[in-house]
Amino acid sequence: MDKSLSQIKTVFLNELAFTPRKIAVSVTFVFFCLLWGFAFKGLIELDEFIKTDNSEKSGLFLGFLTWVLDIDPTQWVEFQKNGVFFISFGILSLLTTHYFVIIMTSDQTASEIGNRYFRYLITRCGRTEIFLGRLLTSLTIGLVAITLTGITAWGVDCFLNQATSIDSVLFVISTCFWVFWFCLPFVCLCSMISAWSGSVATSMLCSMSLAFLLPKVFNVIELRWKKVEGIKELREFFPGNFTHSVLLDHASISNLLVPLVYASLFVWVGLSIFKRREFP
Amino acid sequence: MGRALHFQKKGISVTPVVETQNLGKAFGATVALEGVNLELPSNQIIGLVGPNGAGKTTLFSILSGFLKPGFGSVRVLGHSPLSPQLQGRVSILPQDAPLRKGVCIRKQFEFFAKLQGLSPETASEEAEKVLEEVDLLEKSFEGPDSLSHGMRKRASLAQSFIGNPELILLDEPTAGLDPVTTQKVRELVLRKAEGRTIIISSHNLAELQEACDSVAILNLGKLVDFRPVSEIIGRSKTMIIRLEGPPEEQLTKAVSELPEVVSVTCGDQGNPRIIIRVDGSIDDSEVDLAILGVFKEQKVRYREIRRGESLEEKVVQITKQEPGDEKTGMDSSSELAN
Repeated sequence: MDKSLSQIKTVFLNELAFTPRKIAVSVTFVFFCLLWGFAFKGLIELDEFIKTDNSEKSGLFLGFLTWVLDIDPTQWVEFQKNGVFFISFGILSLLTTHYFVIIMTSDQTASEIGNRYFRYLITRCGRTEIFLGRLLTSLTIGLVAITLTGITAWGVDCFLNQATSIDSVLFVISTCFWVFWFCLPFVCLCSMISAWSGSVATSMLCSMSLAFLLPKVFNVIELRWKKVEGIKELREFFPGNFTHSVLLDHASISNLLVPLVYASLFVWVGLSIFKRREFP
Repeated sequence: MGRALHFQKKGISVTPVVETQNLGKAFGATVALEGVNLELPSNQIIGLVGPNGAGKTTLFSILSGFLKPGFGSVRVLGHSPLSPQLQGRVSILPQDAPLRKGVCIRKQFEFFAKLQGLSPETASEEAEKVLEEVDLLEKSFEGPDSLSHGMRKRASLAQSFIGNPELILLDEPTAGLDPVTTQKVRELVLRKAEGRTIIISSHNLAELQEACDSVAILNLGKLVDFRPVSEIIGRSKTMIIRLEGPPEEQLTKAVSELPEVVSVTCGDQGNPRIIIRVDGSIDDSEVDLAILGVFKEQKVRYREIRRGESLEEKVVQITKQEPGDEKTGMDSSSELAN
């Protein structure tokens, strides 16, 4: 057991050190930062608009939010006038972060199954340890990306309000946690597909497709059985169907458990595949 | 159904490091290995030879746990190839597997050593040691992408020595290396062979003949021979005389009539030579003198005299034969029995 943990730690640390050299991770991270740069600019304008109720510049961004989030921004003004910046940040995070995290973590094992690098590891280390070590690295990459956006959001809020509060810090921590929790099954899905496909392109495409389609499965079900009572409650049992309610202290136990169950399932399947697969 | 081919060192009980029973592997319709029964003794250098597609790399891949056996069983150091008990005890120089680009080879070796359970300090020392053994210490802080082909090969070879493994599998260790480096690699392998088993898959049969104690020959996925090198090449029983032109019938007849000679085989037009099989119980020098006496009598000039056939010749002969005739093959040309 000690040896196993030590190997997981060794793989994890080695992978973490190698991560900046992975082009997919570095390039995606740059795009992730660029997107959030624009997003924060828009959120600052939104904040100004809400505070002054008059900003022509924010019209485009508001239109975008209304369309993407399917929420009327004026509603936020009514119930969360001082927290619109953070709520918008949280919802944007929930909506977009997992796609970036998927791209950054889709190649957990695929490329090195393809180029045979694993031949150097398999005689030295258990397959379980390799798989889990790399999964931990991917989760850490996702967590780092999410934490960076959280810290930036907190910094921007400090800049906007010229002050901070313990509530702001707690909200940022809570948002980062939920975004990470939301991403968790997708990172595990990536590990599963990566172990199965052995190809970076296939792994990325399959993970992105599934990440996009899985939440839509519920939409189809809802559409098909819309007259069935309680159908909406099923929403929470599909990964990727978090709502912004988690950001308004309306989180339920299923919000906690469902991602964990899916993550465990994907890890179990992925690990089984990785342990049984051949490395030709 | 393959034959069980194994041998033991005289008078010494040898535990097999590798034991396969009816081992087979197919990729779709292509059979890569079929009915391989093999017991490889410990503390030897063993060559694994055969033409392209014979199944050498597939066998290595199964022994290392990269591939699962299609059928049959395999034990490595008494365990299944994927057993945690084998971690760090078996290592491989894989064919065509790159080290990580952009990461210095020393860091990569330290990582490998840590995976094998070495402490960070020992891992660093071990990485330095193996890099020094392949003359790459100066390049240790460079990535594999900045090394030449030969250096990369040596680096890959070096990683297989990390942590004193009991069984080392070397897949084409000298492919693409210049003669000087090849010789250094051979010397290194010989040094490293003390107290462990090394299996070398290679097409460089001259190197294998020099380095190996025994050789397993694969052809079309089947094990066709496994014997000590000296036995395969028939060092004490065969004499090969390379001639300047095709041998005349008179010469071969005279040689075959010598009491020490068992049989005489002639080479073909492109390879003028006679292969003389002699009675192994008679003193070598007596036989040599008798045969050379015939050459002197007949005033035949020769280019080269060699004791034993080359491994390359034997492997070509053996792999050319039909299955089932593995141990009786001779040169394709005429044979005169005494």
